[in-house]
Amino acid sequence: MKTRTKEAVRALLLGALAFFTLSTAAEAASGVVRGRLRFYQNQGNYCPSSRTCTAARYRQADYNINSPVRDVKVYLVAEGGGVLGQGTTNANGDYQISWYKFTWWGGSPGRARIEWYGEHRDGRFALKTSAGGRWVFWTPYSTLTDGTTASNRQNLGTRTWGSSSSPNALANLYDGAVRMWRDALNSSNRMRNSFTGVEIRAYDGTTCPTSCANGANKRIIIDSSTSAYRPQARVMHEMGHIASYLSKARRACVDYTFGGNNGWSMTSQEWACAGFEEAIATFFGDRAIYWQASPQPTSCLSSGVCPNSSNVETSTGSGSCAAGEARQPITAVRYLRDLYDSVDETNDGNRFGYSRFFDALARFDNGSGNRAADEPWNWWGTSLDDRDGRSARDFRAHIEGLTGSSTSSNYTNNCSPTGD
Amino acid sequence: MKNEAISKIVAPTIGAGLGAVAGLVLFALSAVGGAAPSTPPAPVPATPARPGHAAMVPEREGRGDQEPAVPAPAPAPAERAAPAALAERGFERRTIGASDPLPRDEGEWQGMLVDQSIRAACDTTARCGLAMACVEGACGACVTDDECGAGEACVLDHCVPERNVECRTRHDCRGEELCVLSGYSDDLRGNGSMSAFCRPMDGGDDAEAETPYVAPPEDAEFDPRPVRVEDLLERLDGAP
Repeated sequence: MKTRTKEAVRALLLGALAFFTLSTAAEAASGVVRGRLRFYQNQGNYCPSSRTCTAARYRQADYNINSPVRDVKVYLVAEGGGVLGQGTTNANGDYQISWYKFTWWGGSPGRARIEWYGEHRDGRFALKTSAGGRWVFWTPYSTLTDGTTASNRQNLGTRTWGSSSSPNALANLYDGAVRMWRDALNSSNRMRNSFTGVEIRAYDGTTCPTSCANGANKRIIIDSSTSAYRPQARVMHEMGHIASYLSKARRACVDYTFGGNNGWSMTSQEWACAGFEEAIATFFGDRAIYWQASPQPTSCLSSGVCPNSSNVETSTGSGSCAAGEARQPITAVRYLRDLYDSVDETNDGNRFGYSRFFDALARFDNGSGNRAADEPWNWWGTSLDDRDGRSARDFRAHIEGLTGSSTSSNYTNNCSPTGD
Repeated sequence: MKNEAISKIVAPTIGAGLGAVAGLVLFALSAVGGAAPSTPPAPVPATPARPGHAAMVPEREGRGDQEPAVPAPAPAPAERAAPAALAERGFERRTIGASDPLPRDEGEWQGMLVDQSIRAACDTTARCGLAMACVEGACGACVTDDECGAGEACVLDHCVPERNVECRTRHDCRGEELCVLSGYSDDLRGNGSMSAFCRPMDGGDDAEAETPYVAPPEDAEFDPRPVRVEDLLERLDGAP
């Protein structure tokens, strides 16, 4: 071999030796961390201790305490950037994460912190900014200990967002959505199959002054941080709208101007389509707090306790209904509640499972005919021609068809909600 | 300097340089393969809502602003508030951009889509949470069973214990049923009790009596501080 060739080969070998030396200096660190996430619970609409709270899922004992951040995706993020591991919290707000990090020459893995973004662990919904970006919740940095294991985890401690003097609105909003999923929508196969990837944008009071929902986009907009503490009438109600749409896709009831009043409340008079849609969303949301055996399910817009007058189990009763009461959304809510609850069965006699209501909505046919999903609209979908279509009366036909049970007494005992 | 002398210097110099460069390049490639993603991506503006076809009119359906005439009760006493040392207001609005869900066939279940924008570093699939597979040094969606751990199958982008797999696509199910995942479990892999099964559209869990209300747990803190030996001895000395 010529001298020059020998020299080149020797140089290459030296280079290779340098490479191996450098590569063995590169190592990795790994371990397991655990911890707990909580927030200061400040949402209203709990069942107060002064009432009978049988079958109530959110009670005064749950209010104004440190509560778990449940069912959220969590990430271990290195100081300076880089995700080292990922996991989820459980019902207690506890998480555990296996992590891995590349290090130089066996150096320390450094510091990292926990981040969460208001994303439900199973992808049911996610908090977003008004522009669709991610809210970030983070903990202080902790120095990671290399070599910890599943049986010897590093404890990062408990972190709490908000306090009695300064509650965290977004954490409360997230919890309201979790409760709506856990204690309401998760009972329905239709929702388990369909309620996925829903965005809850916070906050935008310009686009939606009182919050709103768009089923086709699977998007909810919460108007303000104040609404974060009014779960029943805001995030739960809006999730109810999404659920209604996912049960049966249809055009929106866009006319809320019955009687010249733009907007609505539980006791305003409305076209039957709008009134029923608000009622079904309200009913779906109320169930997150009051289950079947609740004797006093209340429903209202409040960051505190709903008044006794908002009890949706009671009704005016047939023959005693006030003028226009048939058009009030609360009338349809009471009808729906009577179909579901197990209270006062001597008068109503029906007790349908919560999942049946979604299945009944799914029975609306496509199209704009009577009892069809787009009944309020003309055939071309360009204008409204039957504002009392797709009403509680139409829903009654479908749930009776589904269950084989008459709901006539429920209907008339609750002032016969308007519909054709 | 004569050519021969120059060549005696130049040739080995070039060779050493090439070798070192080759070594550094090879080394750098191996390092990048195990590195975690660095800085978050630049903010991505949300896609604006499509305008005004009748079917796309936003449902402006929210509550009217009618407050009841009942004042909210006074806040509960603060004796159960978090200790100041552990009550953190760790929160920031940081535009780290929108998530990037891995698309799935439209006919399949659209739940638990894998977010491609956040990928944890890994050296092995066993290290990955959220039922992910370790692919090219980062945890992410699996494509084949081989990418998952031993005894796991790749279903709907997730590694699922083989014993729990009833279906892989909706075509393995009947009628309107969808092949779905049960959700992440609490173990480190996030899939210990995960299952893939066919779920019908109708029905659900309507037996409410089986899910009683659970009172809130005691406000026990995770105290990360180690126990001092002196404290322990003091307690032992005072024990009956």
